[in-house]
Amino acid sequence: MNAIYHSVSYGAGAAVIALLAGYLATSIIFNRRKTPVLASFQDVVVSVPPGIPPVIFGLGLLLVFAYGPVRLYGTPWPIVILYATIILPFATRLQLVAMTGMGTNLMEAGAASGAGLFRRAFRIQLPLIRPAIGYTVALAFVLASVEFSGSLLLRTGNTQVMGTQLYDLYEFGSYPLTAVMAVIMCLVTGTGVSIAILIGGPGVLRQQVR
Amino acid sequence: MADIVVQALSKQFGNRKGVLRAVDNVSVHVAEGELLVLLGPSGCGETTALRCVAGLENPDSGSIRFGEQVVYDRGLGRNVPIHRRDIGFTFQNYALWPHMKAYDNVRFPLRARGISASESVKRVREVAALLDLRGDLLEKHPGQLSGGQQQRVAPARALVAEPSVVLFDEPLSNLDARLREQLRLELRSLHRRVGFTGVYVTHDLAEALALGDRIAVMREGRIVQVGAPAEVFEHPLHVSTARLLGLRRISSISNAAGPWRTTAGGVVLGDLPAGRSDGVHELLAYTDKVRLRGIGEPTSGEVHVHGGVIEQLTEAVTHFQVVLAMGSERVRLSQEKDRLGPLREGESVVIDAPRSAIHLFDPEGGALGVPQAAGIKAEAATPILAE
Repeated sequence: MNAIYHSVSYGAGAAVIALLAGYLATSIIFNRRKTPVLASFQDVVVSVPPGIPPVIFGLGLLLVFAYGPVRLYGTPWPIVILYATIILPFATRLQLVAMTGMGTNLMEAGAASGAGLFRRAFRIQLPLIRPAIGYTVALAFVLASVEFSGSLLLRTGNTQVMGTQLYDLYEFGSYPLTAVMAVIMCLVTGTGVSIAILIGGPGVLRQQVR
Repeated sequence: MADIVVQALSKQFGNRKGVLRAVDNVSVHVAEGELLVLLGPSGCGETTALRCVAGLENPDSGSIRFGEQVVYDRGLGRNVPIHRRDIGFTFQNYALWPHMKAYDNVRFPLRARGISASESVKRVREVAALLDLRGDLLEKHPGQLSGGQQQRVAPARALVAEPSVVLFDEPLSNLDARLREQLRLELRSLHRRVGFTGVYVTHDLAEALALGDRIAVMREGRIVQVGAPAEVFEHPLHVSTARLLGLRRISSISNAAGPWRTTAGGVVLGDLPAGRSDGVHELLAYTDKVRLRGIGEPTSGEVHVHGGVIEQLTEAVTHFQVVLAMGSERVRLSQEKDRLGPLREGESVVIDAPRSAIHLFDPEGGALGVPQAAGIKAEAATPILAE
């Protein structure tokens, strides 16, 4: 049960972090004309993670948080940061595609109507990129569930996730429990994706086609 | 409402490949309650100038004032953000928020300004009545509205908060001709009733003539002429303005060897202003006012251009399309059937025009013989206010 709870909560936490960081990165990249150098740098930074195996991230986070000045090993944070790093490129690209599809006129119209930055973001932009947000959350659950190698390096006794728990059960020879765990993983992941689709609204699934 | 004062405004765009001066030292004053139309060909800088006034673009230099409030001044380092400029803006593609009903679109500026709910309801109803947004139109989402209906919601949103300044960026350009004409009249009527201070960008001459209290003609980022619509239409100050207004070239002419002659050698008789003795001048005309006469036929106008030959005559329902050969030049014009007479292809003709239809431009494109009447102002050489 703890593994299920950890997987869901770490995935949700990572999704929130990735969405916020992705929104910030997207805003910088989208307004490339104003800050071209920063936008290009940001673009490269968020494009790097898919090219690095998660086990390398896991190893790096292990060394930093187990032996560095900030000792977070044994807490959920290394795993949450690992998941957020994996999800971030997708969160950024999906939001960027959504913002590009929106164009600039809608936000300009908001500004011309007297709305400040936060009002424009909450009343205009976020509702319109909601499908992208929903799809990112759905993707977060999927990626968090399938991620194994990095999680294996970072988990401890009290930060097990579903994937590492399933591995342990298999290694100990508890094959019926392993099968049950596998089914539960599918159910949890599917439920998370369904909730994300509800968050994103009817346009979430069409997001894949755009 | 407030007046708008723009002084020496410039904006350029550039990259490694080059620099484009989109707005070049533009100065103009829009009086309180006046609707100024910026007219020009595509790429002349009018939309960029409008966006600079709105705050959607950051100018490189100059100043902009709405009434007593300085909203931009490069020298003072002042640049008021767009949401604090108290403007209304109507976009070319309407820019209505698709996830909000039309009612919420219109109400949004009031919410942004902290207007109470009860006052908001009252103001939305008032502006909806002004723009003929009847029935349940306000309860629909923009995607459920026609182009014409969306084009009523957009200015409603721009006007509902009674801003100091209202800006229009080609709001009718996406509509069909019939709807454009209808909404053009409604916008004119709306301006007369509400009396807002506005700047309206268009490439459409008919729109400019119908809507503007004054027209500012732009070319290559500069204002080249400002005046009342009739004054600009009757007295274009530059050949590019003349072409924009629909004048067609009749011929290149020169008076280097005495009387005015076309480049093909045809004589040009009539009341024309004195030109320069060097260089080739251009003779343009509103071709719907000229008539083609056979050689020897009596004429009625004050200006006669000889040497033309009808090269092609194409019959339409009510008129003929004529291609006239003036030496190596070709002139295209229409002639109503009952005005063309018995002329046929291959015949030599005389272009017979009233003086008011003819405009002569010097080798640099400047108009000759323009009366120095009040209201006809060319672009100033130095950045002073042009009214």
